[in-house]
Amino acid sequence: MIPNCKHTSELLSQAQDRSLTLPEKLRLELHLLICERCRNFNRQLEFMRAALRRYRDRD
Amino acid sequence: MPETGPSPVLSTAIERERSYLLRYARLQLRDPALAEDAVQETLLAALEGAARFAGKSSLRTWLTGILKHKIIDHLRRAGREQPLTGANDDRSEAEAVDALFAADGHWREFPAQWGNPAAALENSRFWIAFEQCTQRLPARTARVFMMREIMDMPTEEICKELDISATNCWVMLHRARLTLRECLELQWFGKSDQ
Repeated sequence: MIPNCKHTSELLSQAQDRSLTLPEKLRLELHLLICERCRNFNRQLEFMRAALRRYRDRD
Repeated sequence: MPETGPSPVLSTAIERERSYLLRYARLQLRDPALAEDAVQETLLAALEGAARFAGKSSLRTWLTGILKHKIIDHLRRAGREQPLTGANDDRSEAEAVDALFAADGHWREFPAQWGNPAAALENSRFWIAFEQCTQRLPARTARVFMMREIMDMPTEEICKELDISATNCWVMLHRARLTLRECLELQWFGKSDQ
């Protein structure tokens, strides 16, 4: 079953903290394929992580 | 054998890392005075233990390792004195997350494209907005989030340290990210006058 956006956002967040299981990855990919909103969210997660590191490490 | 102090070169180099350490401690502790104390203790410990700095890691890495311990000690003490658990806070945070989604689990508001986020990183006004957004995160959520993102702790370690379940940990990290995202969009990316 393809997860909804809320569940997808949870999986995308958890992907930053643990390895997702194969079924989780598949469901996630299926959802991202059809959902631009969650693709945006995913890019923003990556951006926020990078920004926090940059903020911490800047001189 | 008499204890010899660090060389002047090393002392200067240690002092030069102060602003980095302070930023690190502030992000995690969210209290300038506490952060100042933790950094002060770190620098003292570093100067006393300079002989143990073998130069295998960078000086910054070595100092950050000491600071991390000081911060965790502080979080432990603070956690014993005043646990950061509130059913009310938890409920209102859960409601805030629920409000972002419709009943069927779709996003209520479109997470928009953020234009050129790389350019934001080069803009000093962006960093002011960014700092404000990190400070607006609720205390418990921010604590877990910064342990993960700033102190680079794996979630298992965070769970153990705070005595919470992995699920709880993931829920809080998810909330932190949604909340930070929302704030950045309101304060920066959604504004036309960046």
